[in-house]
Order: sequence, then structure tokens, then C-alpha cells
Amino acid sequence: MGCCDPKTKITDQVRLYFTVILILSFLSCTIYDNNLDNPNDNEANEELGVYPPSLVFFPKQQTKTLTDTIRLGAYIVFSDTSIISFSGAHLNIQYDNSMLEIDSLAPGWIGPGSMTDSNRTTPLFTYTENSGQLDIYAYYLSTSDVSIDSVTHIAEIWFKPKSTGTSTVSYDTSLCEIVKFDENFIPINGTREASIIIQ
Amino acid sequence: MKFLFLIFFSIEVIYSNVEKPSILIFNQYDEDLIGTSVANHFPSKNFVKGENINPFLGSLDSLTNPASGRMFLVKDLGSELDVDYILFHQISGDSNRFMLEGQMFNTRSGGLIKRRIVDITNYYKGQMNELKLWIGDVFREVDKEWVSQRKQVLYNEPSQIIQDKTPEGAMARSLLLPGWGQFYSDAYNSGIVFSGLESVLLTSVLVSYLNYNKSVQEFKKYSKLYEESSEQIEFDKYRVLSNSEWEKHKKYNSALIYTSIASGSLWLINGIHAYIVGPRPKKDIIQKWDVAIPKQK
Repeated sequence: MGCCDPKTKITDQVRLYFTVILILSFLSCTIYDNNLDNPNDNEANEELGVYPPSLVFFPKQQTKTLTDTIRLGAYIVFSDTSIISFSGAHLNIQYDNSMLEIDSLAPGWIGPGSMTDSNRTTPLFTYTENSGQLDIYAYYLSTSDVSIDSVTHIAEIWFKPKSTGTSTVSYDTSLCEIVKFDENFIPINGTREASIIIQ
Repeated sequence: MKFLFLIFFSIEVIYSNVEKPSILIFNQYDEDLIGTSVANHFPSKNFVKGENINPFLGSLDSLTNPASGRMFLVKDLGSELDVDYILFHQISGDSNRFMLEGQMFNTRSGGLIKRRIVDITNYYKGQMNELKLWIGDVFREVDKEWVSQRKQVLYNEPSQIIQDKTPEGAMARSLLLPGWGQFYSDAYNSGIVFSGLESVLLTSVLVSYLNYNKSVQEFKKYSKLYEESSEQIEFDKYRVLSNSEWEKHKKYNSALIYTSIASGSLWLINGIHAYIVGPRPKKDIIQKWDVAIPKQK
């Protein structure tokens, strides 16, 4: 068979045709994973086996440099249909003080709206910090039940990085407490930690 | 008895040209159609005209070994009539078709030493010339005038005939562009159908791909916004949007695969169809010598 033989040409064409089809098929068949994960989202937490009420940090992971400031939110996630008359919380937060140091803290808010919303309810807020352990006490001094969202922001924490590496910030559930309006405890069913990468 | 007639007609020729190769010639055609005898064109050869043509009429290809299938007949005739070669010609055809089969046997070995099958349509006034070319080819005495005459009515050399349009050409065109091969083969209706269907399917593939791509971009955008939202009202909204786009990208991906398969299959079918309906000559103008003809049972 010579190079210009019509049958050779057609065989080459058919081969090229199938190659193109195969390449297009492989390129077009990408199905992305739908792994939505937000620590403040109860649906995502339940898929991971973390049931409400749970203590979480937001965001779950962040990468920073030594010159950056690290901002981390501490939240309680209740069920979407929760009618618990939540009133206050004591959070015990563990962190690696060889890599991170507390820069500042700010109280969170309760009720609908954001931190800039005038409807927010500001709690009585205190904290103590001692060698990699941060205790936050937040109480809402309302005389009646407080209408709450399923996501309740307790505090916003700013860290300063001290050295590079990967560090986790977590809750010690044996020391954490959530109390109702009548000062009875609400059991904590799960926690999620935060991962901080300092480059 | 049958050979006595042959001897009677050929004896004078044999004895007058002892030095020349003698050829016993069997012709099955209308002499009036062909015109003058071929012997006049080959004066250096000593032709003996055979009468009983029947033993040569059966198909050579039906024999177990076509080259040696008539060995005994040829040898017997050769020794009886003292001829060197036997030439058999058969011409048949209708008003627009000319079919010539020429067979050349050596009486010493009894084997077939040359054969030619010519099958030409619309070849007028060239039959005798084709016969002369065949015999001239056998004895290597081809006159330039005969070749020139063939050029005037046919081609320079039958083996060099190249068809302008071929089924392979039609298939190649259709594989490049659906419907092209059908238009090339003058099958306009099927050309319109194939090019139309393929256009619709390719448009569907393109639309599916664009929608798939858009859904992927939206899915990534909403997933990022979802993960960056700390407030419930926001991440609830982005979760719904992200899930919706994820479902869409799956749906468009399936549509893309199915339309691509349909389009690809139709493209291939269109190529095969173009080959089937591709232009072919109604008959082979010149049959090749090595054409395999099924043997008769």
C-alpha cells in the first residue's frame, strides 16, 4: 500500500475520527464532587456526623503569612428548628501558643442580622487567656427568651502568628458549657476545629 | 471427422510458411462485425483457422487449474495440425458493450501462456483494433497506429484509467464533512438529510457543552461564596444555588455525552452510507487479469 492509496487514507481518517471522539469524550465527562462544607451549616455538619448543638469555628481553614492577622469566629450551631431558650455560653478554646498568640477579641451577636445590624443583642462578655487556653464567657442579659438563629456567633478572635507551620484551634468540650435562660445546661453534641496554616 | 475440415482449410498455409510460427486460431464472433481477418495484420505469422470451437467455449475459470485445464486438448490439436500456438477469441456484447476474451496456449506444453479479458462500454468501431492490440501484445508486434487509434476512442492504457469519482472519495468527503460525500455522489436528498441531522446534533452538542461549562463556572462560584459565608441567610441561599448548578452540570454533561454519541454515530453512518451510494462505473471498463471469478459448481 502506498502513501496515497485511497484505502489507507480512509483508514487514517477513521482512526483520526475515533481518536478525536475519544479525546472529546474524556474531556467532557468530568463530573465535579458536590462536597459543600461550611462549619456554620448544620446540613454540612450532619453529613460529617457533627450534630447540633455544636461548637464550631469559622472559617474551617485558612492560610496566612507571618505578617497577617488571623481572624477566627467562634459559633454555636443549633438545629434549624431549635426552640432552645439559649442564654449564655462558656467556651474553652485550645490553641498552640508556640505558633499563635491572641491579639484581640470581640463579642459576637445574637439574633438575626449581622455585626453591623442595629438589631443585634450585645452580650455581657469576658475572657481569660492562659498559655494556649482561652476561656470566653458570654451572657445575654435579656429578661425574656431571646429569639435566636440556628447559627449563634459567640466571639470573634484575632490571632497573631508567631512561627510558620500548621496549627489547629479546637474546643475542649469537657470544659465548655451552654446554658438556657433558666440556667440549665444544654448538652453539646459535637465540635469542629479550625486549621490555620502559616507560611 | 471434425478435424478434417480444419486440415483442409489450413494445409496450404502450413506448407507454404514452414519457417514461420504457426498459430491455430479459433474465433467466436461475427466476421462481418469485425471486418477483415486479423491474419492480414500479422504477415509474419502463419495462421490456421480452426473450425470446431466448442471445446474452448466452456469457462476457463471453472476448471480446477485454468492454466493447464486444457492441456490434453491443446497438445492433441498441436500434434495433429502441427501448430505452435493456439489462439482463442470470443467476442460478445450488445449494442453498447464490447467484451473480448483472448486466450493463448502453447501446444508444446499445453498450458495457457497469456489471457486477456476486455470489457468496455460505449466502445464503438474499436473492436477489431482491440483484437489486434491483444494479438500484437501476445507476439510483441503492436503497431503504433493501433495504439494511436485506441487513444482516439479510449484511453492510452486501460490499466491507467483513474475514475474521477470513487466510493472511497465519497466516504472520505463525508467523514470530513457530513453530507459532502452524498452531494459528491449526486445523492442530494440523503446529502441534505445527513448534513441537516448532523448540524442539529452538532448544535445540540455545542449548546450542551456551553451550558455544561456555564453550570460548572456557576457551581464553582456559588460553592466558593457558600464556603465564605458565615451567616445562615447567605450560605442557605448559596447552598441552594450551588446544588442547583451542580444538578444542571450533571444534566448537561449527560446531554453532552448522548448528543456526542448520537452525532458521532450518525457521522460514521453517513461515511458508510456515502461509500454505499458512492459513484461507481456501471461495468468495469477493463477487467484486471487477476480478478478472482467464482468457480462454477
